[in-house]
Amino acid sequence: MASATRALLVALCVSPTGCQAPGNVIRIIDAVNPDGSIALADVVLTTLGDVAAVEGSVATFLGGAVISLDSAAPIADRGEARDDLVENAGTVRARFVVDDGVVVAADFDSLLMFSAYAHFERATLHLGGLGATLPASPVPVYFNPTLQNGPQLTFPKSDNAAFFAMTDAFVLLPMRILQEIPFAMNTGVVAHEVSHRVFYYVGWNGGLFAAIAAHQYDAGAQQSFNRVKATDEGVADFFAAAITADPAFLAKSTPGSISDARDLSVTRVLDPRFIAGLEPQQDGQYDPYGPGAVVAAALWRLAQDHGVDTVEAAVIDGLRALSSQLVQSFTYQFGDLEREVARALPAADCAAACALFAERYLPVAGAFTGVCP
Amino acid sequence: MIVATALFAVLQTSAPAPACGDLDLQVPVGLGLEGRADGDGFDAAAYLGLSAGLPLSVCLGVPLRLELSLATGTAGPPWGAGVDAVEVARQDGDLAALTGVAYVFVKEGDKGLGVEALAGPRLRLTRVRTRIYAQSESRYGATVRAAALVGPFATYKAWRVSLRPGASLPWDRRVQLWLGIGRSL
Repeated sequence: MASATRALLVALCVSPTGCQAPGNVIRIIDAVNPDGSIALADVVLTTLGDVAAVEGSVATFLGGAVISLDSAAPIADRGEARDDLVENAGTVRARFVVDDGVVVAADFDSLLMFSAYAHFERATLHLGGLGATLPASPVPVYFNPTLQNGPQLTFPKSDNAAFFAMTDAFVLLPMRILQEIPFAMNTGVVAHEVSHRVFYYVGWNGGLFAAIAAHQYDAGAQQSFNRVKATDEGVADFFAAAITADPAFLAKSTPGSISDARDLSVTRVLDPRFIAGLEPQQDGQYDPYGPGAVVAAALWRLAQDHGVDTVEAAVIDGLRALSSQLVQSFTYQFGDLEREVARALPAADCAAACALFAERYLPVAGAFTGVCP
Repeated sequence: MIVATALFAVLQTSAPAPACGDLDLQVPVGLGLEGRADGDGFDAAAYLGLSAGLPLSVCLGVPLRLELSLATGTAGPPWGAGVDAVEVARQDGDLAALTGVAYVFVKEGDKGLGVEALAGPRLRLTRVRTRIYAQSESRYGATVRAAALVGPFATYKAWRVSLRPGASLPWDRRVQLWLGIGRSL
């Protein structure tokens, strides 16, 4: 009640938001370390410029967008075809009150957007600090967009979050089926998506679609691309776990039937059937999450043994080292990234990394030649 | 409601009636549209209020009206919106002091028909309740805006009925439609 009284007194200053203009202390849903439990927390968002528009130097939230997923549409790298694929995107207007200097979301969508912005900021600054260079301009985040699926390119219309490389933008969809912590409020899920953008800009050097256009008819191109997608998923789960210090970050938002298969604390080895890049499949399409979980678990184990910061930096260096191979030859075998990670680690950690990779990637042990004994 | 009753009592005792007309008490109910946070469309909202009005036409010779109102409302279900794990609910309480023109253009016996346009400051106190699983907290905020209402009204004997679209400045992306039923005291 004291809070209500204070708010009343503040309002007598006759200002649209009371005497207190909205600052950048925002109340969000956050993972509270070290136990990983979810709670409300006040955070300072250093990059947020316009609170109501949820707009800052890291991201700009946009509502009402209609996104066409048409594989026949012109696709260009670095978001240059964005205007051809996205229509009607407009400014969001978050509702909030200012209570004792803290911006408090006044409806569910606003809480989603504030929380997601905080997670985007945290992940972007964290990965940028590791040397992952992203474009300086704020990335669009399409909040609750309408997705128009094309004949060959489909995406769920709810209960998902994604980095859409073809628009160089993120998509946050409404939660209609899953009723636990929404993806936009899950620090790990947002960090996972930001990692995909890092993979695009560092691993592919922002040239994924040019590489696809140049190599789509190469023998084995699809299999190579599938293996890269799986590795991309694994790296994204690794960074999500590293940023949240939670190898089971997905369990806050999804049932065990989904999250258990991606728990990074579980020991996983590469299934020989995965090597060809055609398995596993789900609903007739390649499922990158199975092999990706192997990649994530190996990197997580390495991080536990040699330090999270050290391994994170080695993964970024590894992606950068891999870039020319991906872009120029469009070839990739499981273990290629891990080889570069081992190479980027301090010399004292390399032997142990090689031993771990030999155990986890036994069917592709040859991938580590030249770095590991 | 206790506050409203007390407010009315104060008004009643301090009002210079009957020289300036009879104080009337109205119970407005409202429906509204509130712009969604994602900028894509509007949500429905419901409001309930209590207002005390004082026509000044008799004593001043000009069709003026003073009105003090209390209202509360919520957009969406009062218990909140969200998913099972996280819910956010908001309730607003408004206190407005409005003044303006209430012009009667048809008067036949004890029946009257007119139009009114009122404006004035409006204090809105907002309570936000956020729940995560079994834990919840409430936070409060207050804003002051200019409120404006305009619409027709009808009188019959001591009864008064009004229909008033309203909005605020700066615009808070809400439009309201109030139906008020009142009685002179």
